[in-house]
Amino acid sequence: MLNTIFTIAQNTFRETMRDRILLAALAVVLIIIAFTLFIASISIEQDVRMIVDFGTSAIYILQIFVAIFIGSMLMYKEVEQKTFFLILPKPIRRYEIILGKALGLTATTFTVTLLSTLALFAILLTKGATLFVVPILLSVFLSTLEAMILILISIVFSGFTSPILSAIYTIVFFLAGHAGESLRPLIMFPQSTVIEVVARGIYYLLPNLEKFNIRNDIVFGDIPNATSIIFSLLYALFYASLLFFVASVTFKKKEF
Amino acid sequence: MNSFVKNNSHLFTGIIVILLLAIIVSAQVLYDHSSSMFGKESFRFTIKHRSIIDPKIVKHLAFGFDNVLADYYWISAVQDFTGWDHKEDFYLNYFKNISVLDPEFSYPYLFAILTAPTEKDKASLDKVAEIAELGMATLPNNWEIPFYLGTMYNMFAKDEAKALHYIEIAAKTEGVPSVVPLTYSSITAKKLLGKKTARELMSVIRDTTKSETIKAMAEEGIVLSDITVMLENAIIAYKAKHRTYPKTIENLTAERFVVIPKEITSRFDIIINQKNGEVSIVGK
Amino acid sequence: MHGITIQNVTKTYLTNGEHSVVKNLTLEIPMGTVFGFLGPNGAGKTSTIKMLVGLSRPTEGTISLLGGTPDDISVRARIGFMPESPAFYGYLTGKEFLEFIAKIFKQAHPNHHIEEILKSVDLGHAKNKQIRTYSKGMLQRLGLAQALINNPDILFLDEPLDGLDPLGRAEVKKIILALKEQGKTIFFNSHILADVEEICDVVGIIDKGVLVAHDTPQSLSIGHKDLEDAFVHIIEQSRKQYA
Repeated sequence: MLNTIFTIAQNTFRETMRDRILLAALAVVLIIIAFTLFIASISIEQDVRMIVDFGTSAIYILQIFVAIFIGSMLMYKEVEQKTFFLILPKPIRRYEIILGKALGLTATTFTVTLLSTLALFAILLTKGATLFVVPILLSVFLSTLEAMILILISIVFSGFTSPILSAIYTIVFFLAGHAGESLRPLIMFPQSTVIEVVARGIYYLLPNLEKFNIRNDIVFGDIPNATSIIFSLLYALFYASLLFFVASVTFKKKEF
Repeated sequence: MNSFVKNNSHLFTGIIVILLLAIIVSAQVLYDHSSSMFGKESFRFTIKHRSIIDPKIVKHLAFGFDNVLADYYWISAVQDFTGWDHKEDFYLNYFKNISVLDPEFSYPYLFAILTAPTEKDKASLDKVAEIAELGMATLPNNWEIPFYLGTMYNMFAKDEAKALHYIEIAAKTEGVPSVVPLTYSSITAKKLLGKKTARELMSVIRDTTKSETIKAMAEEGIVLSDITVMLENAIIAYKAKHRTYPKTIENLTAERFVVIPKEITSRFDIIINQKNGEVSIVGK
Repeated sequence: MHGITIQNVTKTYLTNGEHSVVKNLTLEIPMGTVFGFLGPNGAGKTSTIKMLVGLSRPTEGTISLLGGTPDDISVRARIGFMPESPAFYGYLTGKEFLEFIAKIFKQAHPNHHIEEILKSVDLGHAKNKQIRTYSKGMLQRLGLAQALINNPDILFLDEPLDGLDPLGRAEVKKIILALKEQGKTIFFNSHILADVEEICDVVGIIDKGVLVAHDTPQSLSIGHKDLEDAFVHIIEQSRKQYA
């Protein structure tokens, strides 16, 4: 089983890393990271903060782009181009395909994240700001966990809908996942039971992605404690497991 | 002719492209020339307005990009400061949004306190104080915010009660440099605020800040404070001679009661209060 | 040994109203048989083969392959499938693609085997070229190669000669005949009757989802010029009967 999953993951990684759209997005992010030097120069003595903020946000946007747009195409392409017709009749379980695809794309996300993070470190080195290495690594680790959840969401949708709709639905989850601050007042001070129930439903059932966002804190040298990181990791793994289960069930039933 | 064009189609394509580019660039140059875009006066532009998202909703639209959005507003504020006419609200709105998106971003509070208050809007310092209060609540160990606010209430609004209130908060902050409580004690002991202590307060800012920009602003504040004292002494001498206050600064300089550097007169308007001879130095 | 058993299989789609593409199909294909499945376009040939390899499931009825079902991993390890106009990952080379497939079959040392298969389908010269540079004939042959990689007991071929020029068709037919010599069970869809007549032991004819004939090509051709003539006659008769 592991061998099969690894084979699919390896193939997915190879396929997505050669995607021109991905390479173009990576190039744009590297340019943005280099551009942070200019932003820093016009920020009046807030140069390191600007580089860290814009740099980590650019990396984060790249991860989200890979998860949402590349992820939406992943299953759809195979269905439309019928490359699945060569794979599915082989001795491979459908959930192995899902897991292989998810792991492969996560590996791609990790690779482009690593490249852009190294670029950011190089820029920070020119400013002598080496104190941010660990906080930034922690930040990209947590945002990679978020990307993994979004990858699985887009895989769930791309199994039965077009890439555009899949991307739209995934973006909705992304926005809802970061709307916690807006939902909390509706939960704490509800104007009606219906609003409270809906707000609670969104807050607890949809993936709460804000916990993976420490970009706002690292610039002040604040990093979450170990317990918080472990809870975030467990949340990501369990939510990813749920999404994987849903994707496997829907894909198992799919006919071609 | 046709065959010549066909055989040299790449050459003709290149010529057409270059010609069109030349026309486009010429049109842009003429446009710039007509609207003085690159003229000497071009950088003294005034920004009439900016469309900035209301602070009440900006946080809900950040979707995890709060700090980057705060940085964007910070850079916008810095870029627009030069062109701000000191009347429009947009400049302060930048800082409102920064404080909402990233209340721990301390530098903008200080920058806003020193740059936002304007003679053209008497309520501007109070508006800045609202923003600064949020900073003080979020950063209780930051003594600079209340101190700078107190300094501006003293120098700008001449509101001694508020000035003392904020300087006291600063003096009692944990980890504050000793010069701050000493200055506070000195002010309360002498029971005076006003022009004499304005210099003292600005000196504290100049000597404690790590920011070169704020240091430069503080030094300018000290210079303006000294000039104000010098002018008011000159006005007293003028009145002693003419039994009336000078209407304009030129009355003083013409009779050599005082010499003001051109650098000051080109950047500031000096207004003499005809009732009590007090001097206000207002940015142009 | 069990071959292919299709028992009262019906496949119904619910898009644009209820629509059955295969109706009550029953077929028994013993091991070692080369079975040709014929029918006009839209008759239900591809829908049948998809059910046999697990790409879809029958709405009613049962399918048995090698004593198991198409859903069994152990059964899928012993079958090969070449879809109609197979699609590949264009950025891989022919050899890389077969290595990928071999890994799914958990083949320990696939290289030698892959080299042999590529030679047998006359793709040895193109093994290191990206698949996107392959011609239609080369793609068909690669499709056949990936179906053979596990030395399957049963081979399903969906229109293996489709879109090929005469030279390409001759090459693929040669390969299928060689597999027949090896005693492989082959189930293949086609609408090129001359080729079917040449290759197949048994033929089934399907029209509008219904099996209308099932016999050897020679028996079906009795009283007709050739199998094609017999085919047209059978289809016309069937349509009159079901009209």
